[in-house]
Amino acid sequence: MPWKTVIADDEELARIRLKSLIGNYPNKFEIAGEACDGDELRLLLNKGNIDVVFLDIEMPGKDVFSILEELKQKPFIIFCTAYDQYALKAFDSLAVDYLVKPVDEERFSQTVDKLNRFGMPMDEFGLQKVIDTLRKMDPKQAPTTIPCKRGDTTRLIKLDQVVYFESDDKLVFFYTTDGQRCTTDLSLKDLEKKLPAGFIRVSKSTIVNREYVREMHRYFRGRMILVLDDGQKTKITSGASYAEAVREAFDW
Amino acid sequence: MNKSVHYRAFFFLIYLLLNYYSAASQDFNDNKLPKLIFDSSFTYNPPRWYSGGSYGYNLSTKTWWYTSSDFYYNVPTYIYLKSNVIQHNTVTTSHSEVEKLNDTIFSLRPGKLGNIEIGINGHNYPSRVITLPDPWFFWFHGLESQPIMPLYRFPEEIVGITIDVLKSHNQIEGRMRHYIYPVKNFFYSIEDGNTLIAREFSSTNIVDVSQIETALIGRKKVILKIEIPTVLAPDSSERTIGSRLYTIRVYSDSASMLVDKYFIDNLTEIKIAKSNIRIRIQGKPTEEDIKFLKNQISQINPHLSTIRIKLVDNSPSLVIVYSEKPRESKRTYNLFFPTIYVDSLFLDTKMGQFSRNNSVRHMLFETLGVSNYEYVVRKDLAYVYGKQGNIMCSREESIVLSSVFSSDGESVLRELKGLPPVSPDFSIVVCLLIGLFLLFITMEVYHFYNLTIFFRSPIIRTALCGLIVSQLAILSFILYQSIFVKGQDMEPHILIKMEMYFSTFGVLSIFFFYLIDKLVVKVRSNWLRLIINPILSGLSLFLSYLVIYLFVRSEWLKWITIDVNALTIGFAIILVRFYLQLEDNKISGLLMEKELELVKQKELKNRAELNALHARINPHFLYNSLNSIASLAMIDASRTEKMALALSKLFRYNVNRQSELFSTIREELEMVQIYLEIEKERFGEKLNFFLSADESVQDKRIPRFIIQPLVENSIKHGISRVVGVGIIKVNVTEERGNLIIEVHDNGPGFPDDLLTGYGLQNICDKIELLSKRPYSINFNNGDDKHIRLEIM
Repeated sequence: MPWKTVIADDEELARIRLKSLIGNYPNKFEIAGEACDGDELRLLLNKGNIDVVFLDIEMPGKDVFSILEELKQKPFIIFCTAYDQYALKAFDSLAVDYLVKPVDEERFSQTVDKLNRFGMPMDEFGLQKVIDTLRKMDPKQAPTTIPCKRGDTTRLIKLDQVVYFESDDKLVFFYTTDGQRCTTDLSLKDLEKKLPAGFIRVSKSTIVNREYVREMHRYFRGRMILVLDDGQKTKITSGASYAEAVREAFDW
Repeated sequence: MNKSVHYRAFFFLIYLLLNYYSAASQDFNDNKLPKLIFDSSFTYNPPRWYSGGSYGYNLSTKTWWYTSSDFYYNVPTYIYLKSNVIQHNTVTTSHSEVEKLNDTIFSLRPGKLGNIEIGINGHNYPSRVITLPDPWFFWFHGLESQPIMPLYRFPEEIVGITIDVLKSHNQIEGRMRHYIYPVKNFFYSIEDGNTLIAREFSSTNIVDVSQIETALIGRKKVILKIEIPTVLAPDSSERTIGSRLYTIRVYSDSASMLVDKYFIDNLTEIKIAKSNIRIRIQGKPTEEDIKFLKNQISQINPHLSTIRIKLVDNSPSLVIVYSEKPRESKRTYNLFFPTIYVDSLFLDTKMGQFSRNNSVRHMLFETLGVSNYEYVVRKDLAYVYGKQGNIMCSREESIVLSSVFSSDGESVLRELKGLPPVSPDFSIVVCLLIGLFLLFITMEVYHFYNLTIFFRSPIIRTALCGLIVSQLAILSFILYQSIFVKGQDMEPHILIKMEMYFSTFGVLSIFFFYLIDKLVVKVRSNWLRLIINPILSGLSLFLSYLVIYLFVRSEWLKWITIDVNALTIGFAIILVRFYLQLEDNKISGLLMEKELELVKQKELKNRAELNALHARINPHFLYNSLNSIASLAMIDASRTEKMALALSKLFRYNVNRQSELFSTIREELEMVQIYLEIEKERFGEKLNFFLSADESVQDKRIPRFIIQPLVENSIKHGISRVVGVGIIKVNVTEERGNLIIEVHDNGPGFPDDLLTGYGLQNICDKIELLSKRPYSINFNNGDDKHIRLEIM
């Protein structure tokens, strides 16, 4: 019985290319559907009975990895990527495979061989490992800018120009090097999670950009006074419960 | 207890201390300086009956000796020495013979019993009878026992000789009473200052002299004390003598005895001069004055081996002012060491020559620290009444001077007076250590409480620093005085003066230094700085000194008042500042090199960053496009051709011109066009795009690859999620000289979240590195969703 196959790629030409390659093995594959984003893929997979998925990992829409993780019965996954992922070579022995774009016929035949060899069901443990590795290699970088809303327009401000964040009641403000004050809808808690390592939570209501801490002074009960390099020499008192974290962050 | 509590307590103490001084200052009057306690070791004994010379008993020759310079000139004097064995009668009339008598040592050998009488008789003067006791007998007068002689045998009977003295000076009436009491069974003890060497009981009337001799080995003086029990006079049964304690001092040599006698008994501190006495003469002395002074100095100097008396012009320790308007003699304290002072003696030139001379002589001895009323003032009297010439040092004086001012003079004197041996003088070191310790504590406190943060103004900080340093200097001085200098108290007025001088000086000079440091930084040349800094520092020190004199002391600064100590301190400060400047030069040199290196490194880094930025035409894009071409090849040959050509154009634009950093808007838009065509091929009918640019901006140059990433973002986050047809519009315009690049698309709005992805970062970095002009990126999520880059 041929494998029920799904092709997931946002680009039509890429799907065509895969379809034509699959067409060389009419006994092996039976195309169950095509998906051009994460949502479509999920719908297809939820129908069940899918044996093989050709998956473009840079596909827009819902994060494809989380879709895979949600699945109870996992199909055999063949990752397709434009990058030459050397790291994936380590998984050659596992019941997963990957194709590097542009895909050539010879490589595709190896994939078919591998499918034949391992058969179903696929090794879930191995899949999870591959997903983890891919996630880490995701070229997605640390956030670099933060929007600052003023009426209709939103200005983008580079994070390395943000001196510190401060919460006042419900609102969270941040201050830039040129002395501007902006609001953001994000809470300090969210910010603490999302901001890159250069930002340090120094008290219940403040997150400080490490780059702009000019002086540090000991203060009472293990707290500290930070003098910021923002032109006004803003002083910020760190919280007692954050003392250890602050000290660690500044190697002090 | 918390560490900080100690600090607080410490400062509270200082506060109290300062309060005490200010309270004490209220009854402080500069004109009537109270005499310092530590200066008053020489109190004058009230005039007593004058014993008329020195006498003693020589153990080895078993003779009495007597010497005096109390023979008056031009006064008929006869001396008779009366004993059983020797009769020595001298009657003098002439000047020269009396002079010979003065300081002659008469050796007198006493008889078996009885006293030796020395009679000095002169016209108009009461005859004096000095009775030297036979060593076999005690001699005492009143209740006071006279410390005179070693005793080797206590007599069988006490012969008491009492001389009743009428307290008036020129009437001495001697009445002699003899009592004879049988004495046996007494205790006697031999002491050395405060320690008991031996205590014996004598059942006879004999004291073992060998004990005394043994005790004298290695000692200058021992004291023999005889405790005589109550005795009854045999001749008159009614008379009793109560129990008495007789004290007899025994010396190893006559010089020791003289020295011991010369200094009063209750001496608590020895204050003999330890450094050269530098005398400056001011005013209008007569020739006689100078001659006298020089003569006295030349007489005294030969006896001194540790110090010298000199006549000087600069930095005197004693100023003798001869003037017609005499003022009270005064003491001027050193600015920095209030224990150092200059005495000024004002002499009335209208006063007689003799009394002037007497005053000078007295002052000399006082400055030497060996002033003794009986030996100096009496001499003056003798001079006044006697010879018209120079006062010679008496034999006693020369012996005392030469033994006190010898290398071990002070220790001998201390031993004789039962004072603890002098310890080496580490006062400056101790003072310095205390000061450093205080400075350390202050620095600790300063850092602990982080005072920098409270005193942001450098001027306030400077003033504070000056105050702290000066207070520390005073505090260390006080501590030193109270801990290490026993029995000498600081008078409040001195502390107030110190407070005034030190704080003014400290704050002023440190403020000057602050200004100098600001000024010196502006000087380019290292060498010039090294020269200018010490010169200006010295100048500012002098200025501060001047200010103290003018405003605190309210007197003009005279060159001569700048003494060695002030110069030393000033020099030390200048030296330290010179050294600091030297270090500073070194550091600034290093900094300069470092800076150059940093600039170089930054340039390299910029270059490397730019290269990295340019290399970032997405390989992902290339592979995806090639994949599309591979796919198209099967379907549509002409579209394949079109796409392959477009791709090659795009990469030619990118790869071939990598060394170029800028390009025109026209070129950039062409590139975007090609890019969008490729994307359109990939996405098919889904994508429509419109590019437009004002004619005026077409040839403007901007950093390369700025528009393309914006468009790429629009496709990635916008168009790719559009169901239906995606539209991209790129507009380049100019507004008020600012270049505006707008990219519109009809995809979903920008998130409010932090934005990820290097597209934007890349653009920002390029503009910052290359065009170095201010810019802003805005986006609008309204109906006309667009991102807008404005370069000013």
